[in-house]
This record gives sequence, C-alpha cells and structure tokens, in this order.
Amino acid sequence: MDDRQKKVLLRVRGLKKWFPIHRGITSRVAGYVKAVDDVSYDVYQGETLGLVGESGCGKTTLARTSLRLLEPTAGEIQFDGQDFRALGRRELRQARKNMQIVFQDPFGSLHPKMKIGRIIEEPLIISGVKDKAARRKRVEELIVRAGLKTEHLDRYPHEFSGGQRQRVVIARALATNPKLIICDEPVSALDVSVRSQILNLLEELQESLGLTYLFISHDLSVVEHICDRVAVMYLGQMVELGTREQIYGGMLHPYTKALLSAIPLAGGEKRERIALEGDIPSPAKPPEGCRFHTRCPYVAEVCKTVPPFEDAGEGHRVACHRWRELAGTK
Amino acid sequence: MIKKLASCWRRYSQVILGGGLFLLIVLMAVFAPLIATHDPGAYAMREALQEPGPAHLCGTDAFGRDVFSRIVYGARISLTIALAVLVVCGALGTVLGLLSGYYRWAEATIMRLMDGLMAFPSILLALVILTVFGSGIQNIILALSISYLPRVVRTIRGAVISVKEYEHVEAARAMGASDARIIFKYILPLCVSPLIIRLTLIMALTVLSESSLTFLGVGLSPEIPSWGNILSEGRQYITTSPYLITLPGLAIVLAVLSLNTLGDGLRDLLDPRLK
Repeated sequence: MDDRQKKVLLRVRGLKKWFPIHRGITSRVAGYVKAVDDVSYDVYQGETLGLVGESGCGKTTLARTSLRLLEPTAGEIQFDGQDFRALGRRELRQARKNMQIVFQDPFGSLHPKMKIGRIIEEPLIISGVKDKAARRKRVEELIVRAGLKTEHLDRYPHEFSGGQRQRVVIARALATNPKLIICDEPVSALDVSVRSQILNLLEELQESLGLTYLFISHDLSVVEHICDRVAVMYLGQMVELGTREQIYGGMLHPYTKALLSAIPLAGGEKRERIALEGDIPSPAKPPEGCRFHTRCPYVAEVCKTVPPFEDAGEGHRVACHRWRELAGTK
Repeated sequence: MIKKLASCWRRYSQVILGGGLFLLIVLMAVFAPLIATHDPGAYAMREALQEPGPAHLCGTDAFGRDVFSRIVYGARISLTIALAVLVVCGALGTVLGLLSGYYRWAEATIMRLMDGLMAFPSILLALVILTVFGSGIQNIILALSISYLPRVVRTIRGAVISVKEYEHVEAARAMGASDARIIFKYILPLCVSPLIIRLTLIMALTVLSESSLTFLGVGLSPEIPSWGNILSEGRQYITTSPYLITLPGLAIVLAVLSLNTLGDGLRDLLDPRLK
C-alpha cells in the first residue's frame, strides 16, 4: 500500500487487560493474569494486520479488548478518529456495527435454533434497519456474495459443513458494512482443502469492499499468504511489528526467528530449527525485564531490563535490546 | 403419501399422544359433573369398601363414596394446583434463573436466597408456610411454588451459565445486541429442554406433595376430593382394598406421564437438529 494514503482506522495505545485472580472465601485479589500488557499498535484502513503468537500469548484477548468486547484495564483506543473508550453503553452498541468478528469455530458461532436467513438478518435488525423487504434483499445479496445460494437461507446451521458455516459467519459479519473485521483464527477449524477457499473469499471481499482485517492466527504460512503487516506477540506483549517482507525476510527478534523457523519448507528442504527451551512462563508471573529472556538463546545481562519497542527503520518495530548485534546472525 | 404420513407421525407422535392424553384428563376435570356416576361426597356406609364392579366402576371407599367419581372430581383440584405451581415456578424461576445466570450482581442476591430456601426440605418448608398462612388451595399453590422455585432457578441458571459462553452469544454482543435481546433470543431458547424436564418433574412432585400435606393435616380438608386426598385415605386399607391406592395412583401416573411425553415431544420439536 502507498504510504501517503495510509489512514489509521484503529489506534491503540498502552492497552492493558489484567484478569484478577481471586483466592480464598473472601475472594481477595491475589494477583493478576496480565493477558495483554501495554500494547500499542495501529491498523491502517484497507490493510490486513496479522497477529501471531503461541496459544495463550494474548492474541485473542488483545483483539477482544481492542473492540471493548472485553473492558480494557487501561489504555487508549481510537476507532476511526473517535475516542472509543469514552463511549457509553448505548453509544458503544451503536458503534458496534462498524466492526465485526469472524470466529474460529463455525459450529459454535451460529445460533443452532435460528435459520441462516435470520442469522444474517440479525445484525441488520439490531442496527435498526426497519424495512423488512430491504433487509431480505440485503440478506439475499450477502449470501450470494459469500458464495452460497438463496435457497440456503431457510435451513438451519447444522445442515451445513464447516466451510459453508464459515461463509455464513462471513456473510453475517458483512451485513452492516463494517469498516473493520476481526478474523479470529477463521480457518483453523477447517479442513485444509476448504481453507484456501475461505481465504480467497476474504481476500476477494477485501478488494471489492475495501475492508480492513485484523487477522489472528497461529498458522504462519496462512499469515504470510494473506497479511500486509504482521505483529508478533509473546506473553501479552508485542515483540515485533512490521510489513510482511520485513518480518518474513528480515525478522529481528529472536522469538520471531524461533517461531518462523518452525514453518516447514516445501520440497524437503532443511532449515535450521531454533528450538526454544522450557515452557512459556505464566502470564500471572511474567519474567522481569525482557519477557523472553528466560528462553532466549541470545540472553545477556542487559535483558534483565525492559527493552523499548523501538523503530528499526521504515516502521519495523522490535522489542529487543540486542537486535542490532543480532541483525547479522540467523 | 403413506411415507409422508409415517414421517409426520414419527415427528409428532409424542406430542399427539402426550397432548391427547393430557387433554383427555383436562376434559375429564372440566366436565366432571357429566362424567361422574355418583356424587363424590355422598356417604353410603352400607356400600363401604366394595370392589370395583358395574355399580361402582372403581369401587367405594371406607365411607361408601364412589371412588371413580372422586377421582374424576379430584382431577379438578389436583390439576389446578399442579398447573398453577407449574406456571408460577416456570415463569418466576425462568426470570430469576436468567437474571442470576447472566448478571454477576444478581447472582449473589438471588442465589443466596435460593440456597437458603433449598436448605429446608421442601415438604417442611411448605408445612411452615401453610401453618403460617393457613390452609386452602391458594396457599397450597403458594407454599409448593416457593418450595420448588429454587430447583427451577438452579436449573435455568446452570444452563444460562454454560450457554453464555457459546460463541454465538459473543457474536450477538459483537453485533451490538442489547442485553434483553441476548438473554431472550440467544440464551433462553437453548435453556428450554432442561426447563421442560424440570417442570414435568415438578408437576409430578406437586401432586404427591399435595397428598403429603393433606396427610400431615395442613393441606386440604378431607371432604375435598383430590388425588392426594383419596390416596392418603386409602392408605389404611392397602392390604384389604388395594384398588383404593392403585386407581388414584394410576390417575396420577397417567397425568404425569402425559405431560412428560408432551414435554419431551415439544422439546424435540423445538430442536431443528432432530428434524
């Protein structure tokens, strides 16, 4: 995308989501699980921002908190120039039509007792489209757009396959013409053969409707395929953020290196695996300083202090003290 | 054509059988004066404890009253009480259950209250309420409703808590749906099957509890023919005249069975996955 046209759609600064841990009969707060701890990022209009990381690193919580589906503990959110955290309950509900979610599990995210037509119609009803005929017309338009047929509208979700259900979820997400769509692992629950169909559908829709995606995934090859920029998360924090080329071509953070070295190569080529030692630490007790230092192969004395999330040039940001020294190494 | 009828029957059989039987019982209660062969309250000591026969379809009790007529009239009282308790418990329990399952703030208040009520055995609780407020059909309904309410609330609350975590509920929130819409459109429809099962059970329990209360002397006065009353009076003659127990018992069984079947059928009918 051309730099001059970049318009920030979602601006997040210092976002935190701490879940309290209650103990004992008085349920006093014994500590916090810092699922998202001081994360800042921008999502530009029309781009696809990938969010990758191990399970439990806070990807989903970050996305949910960014949309206030979970109330943030602290931080600023600006959506389309509007201070999103200042909205009251009613205004927030109104604003919801501008952002939608495509969930991971297409079997759980559709109401089992509603017909497909009704499921897609719901967001229209909620956003206040009174004219019944207009709603019906829009629903028919959407289902075709998502690659299904109008006769499917009178069926129930259980009559469809996973891929078809995901198409319904996408049609529902599109109903209110949202500006931002969060795709929370939209293809992880699908068969490999169906995956590419859904990914192509998402790309096609983005092109024709000018959508912006926040794309959460742990599948790095899917992210490489679909995303313009990629953010890497570790233990509730962003460790690296850059364009697809910057991340896949010249990643700087040791964690990103380890993560990417796990992608299998086609054609039996061998790549040097960087195997990390130990388990991911508990987000209730994250390591002091750089959170990755307990597992980092390049750990040094300086890593006991918190690294800044600094710009390594051309918007490529990395949270590592030693990225300059390590830039030459594999 | 026959195939279609067969599939139709398979789908609706439970509703038709259960609903039909229940309707018959209700009709019997409504048209009791036309169906009963004798005055249910008329004593005839000379005809006491007769076996079922042409003169008395279900025999007579220790006072010579016609048991068949008493069962027919008893349906009025027993069904009124059972259905009233069903409605009160169902409506109030659903609302309280939804509230306490959905809102954290409501949970603490409502559930502690329900736990308090549940700490008493339900018959004891009903006994206390009836002792305080006095006897009578209305008070029996009130007492039994209060005693059975916590079970309904607990059932609904449990279902709500699990349904609340489903992704389709979160999808509704992400669409900007109001709490009321989420609760009634997205959560309640998935709590219907446990509710139906719980309510049919309560219906059966109510008929039996009413007889226990009568037996304990705080229920209905013995002149009023209710199924529970007939049953508890017949208890003394269980060895010599077992029909005094079995026949009103059969009426209770049939009523509960019909409602149970109807409930099961409705539940399946409401589930699109079983079409």
